[in-house]
Amino acid sequence: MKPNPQERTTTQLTSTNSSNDLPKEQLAPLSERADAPVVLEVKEMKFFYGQSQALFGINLDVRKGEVVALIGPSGCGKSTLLKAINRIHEVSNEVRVEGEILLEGANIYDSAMDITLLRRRVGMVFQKPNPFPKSIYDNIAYGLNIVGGFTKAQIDETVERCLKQAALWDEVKDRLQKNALGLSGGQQQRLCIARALATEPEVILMDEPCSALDPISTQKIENLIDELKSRYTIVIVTHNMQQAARVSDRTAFMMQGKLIEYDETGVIFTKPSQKLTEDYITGRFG
Amino acid sequence: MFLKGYDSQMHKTFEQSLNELQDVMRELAGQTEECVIDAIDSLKNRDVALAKSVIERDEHVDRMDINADSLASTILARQQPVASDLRFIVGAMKIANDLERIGDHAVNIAESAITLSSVSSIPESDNLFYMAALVQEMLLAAIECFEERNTITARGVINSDTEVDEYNKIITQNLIEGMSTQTVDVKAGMDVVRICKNLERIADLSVNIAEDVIYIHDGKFVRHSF
Repeated sequence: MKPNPQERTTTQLTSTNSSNDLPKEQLAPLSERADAPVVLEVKEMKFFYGQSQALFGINLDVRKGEVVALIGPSGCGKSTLLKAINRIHEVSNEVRVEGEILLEGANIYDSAMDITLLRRRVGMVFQKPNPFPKSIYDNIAYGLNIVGGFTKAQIDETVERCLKQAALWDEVKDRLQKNALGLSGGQQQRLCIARALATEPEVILMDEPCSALDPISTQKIENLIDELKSRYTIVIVTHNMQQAARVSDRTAFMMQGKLIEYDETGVIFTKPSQKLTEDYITGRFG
Repeated sequence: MFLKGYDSQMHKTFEQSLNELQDVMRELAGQTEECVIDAIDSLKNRDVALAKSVIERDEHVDRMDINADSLASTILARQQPVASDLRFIVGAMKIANDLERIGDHAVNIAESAITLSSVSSIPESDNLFYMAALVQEMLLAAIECFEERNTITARGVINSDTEVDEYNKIITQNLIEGMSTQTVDVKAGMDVVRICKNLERIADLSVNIAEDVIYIHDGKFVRHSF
């Protein structure tokens, strides 16, 4: 017997399905580099500035050829973590590090690690463009001259290659001997990236590289990051979440010195698993 | 908390925009629901005036669909929402489109109701009105689960579609038999087939809405049996 349609209510449509009946979930696609080997591995990293602890047991891996973005509120430890990756903080005697950072399997905090070699392998680009007060040519050649043993022809070739990789060659090829400080802010930052490329690093660290740049220069740097990732592994700290979403393959959210969530960027920005991440990226802290 | 003060004026504007979109969606859903109910009532009661008013109201439904799309596009462009906010806006845009199409199907039913108003008896009327009641419930439940972000009701809507499909098949089959044996007037029979098809599409679109509610709430895609 058919029920009277008028007696049916929407509550009768309530499903009794258990979670076992749920349709198969479709997740965001994994990074193209999901199978790439891990080039950088941070293990139980703790970092102290004097008595103050800045990082609390960070674990994070970076695959070869991927872009990883570190995001989080000011003071969360993302820049500290970045600097720890090429030991740049060691200019101060007040810092202390526990844990390991493995670069291609070797602990960079091992006493046998050559710090000059480490900084050749792990380049860094800072928030504010900091070209040397030298010619454009000499800015790129500087690292090679420090290492020594290169011919003029080799240095010329490297200068051209790095400027091309940094998408700056066409703009400066006719004024290579001009002072780098005469370039615009965006050009100076691309020069700094070109300088970092000269020593052929495996990893490039970028600490808010676009924060001092206008939107057009920012777009050029972001395009550059996209092109560079086919050859280099990049870790970028940014306060601009849209930038993290645009340029990175994976995103790590940090807060109060801890790694809260680390996942594919598409997942972080559409369906984060941690409420703290959701609250931060949607701006609902308060 | 440590980020006290982050809740800036800009964020309040964003929340206001989301609320505004929710209000537009609520109005669009309410208008569409009314159009479907009135289209079915106009058929039941041979109420030509009511059927004509459904046809006239479709323009308003279309306008609200455009309002929802325009508002959602502006929020996407100006606020770059992420996570649950992004899912709500993407879901709302799709649901607005589904509601607008449901409005079009209500118009089709109303047009057939006008044609059938002069017929002495509507063929397969028992089954037809039962099917119409099922579809009406599915639509109401789909709108309710969007309003309340209720994924349990949403899954109930999805599961209800099979029964509607079965009624569509039974009614169509009965009408074909009736028309071939000349026990059913062909013109009236074709109008009822058309109404069935439109009801079946309203049920499918209600399922789409329910699937989008699950996406908005859980971030899970449940379309196409995934």
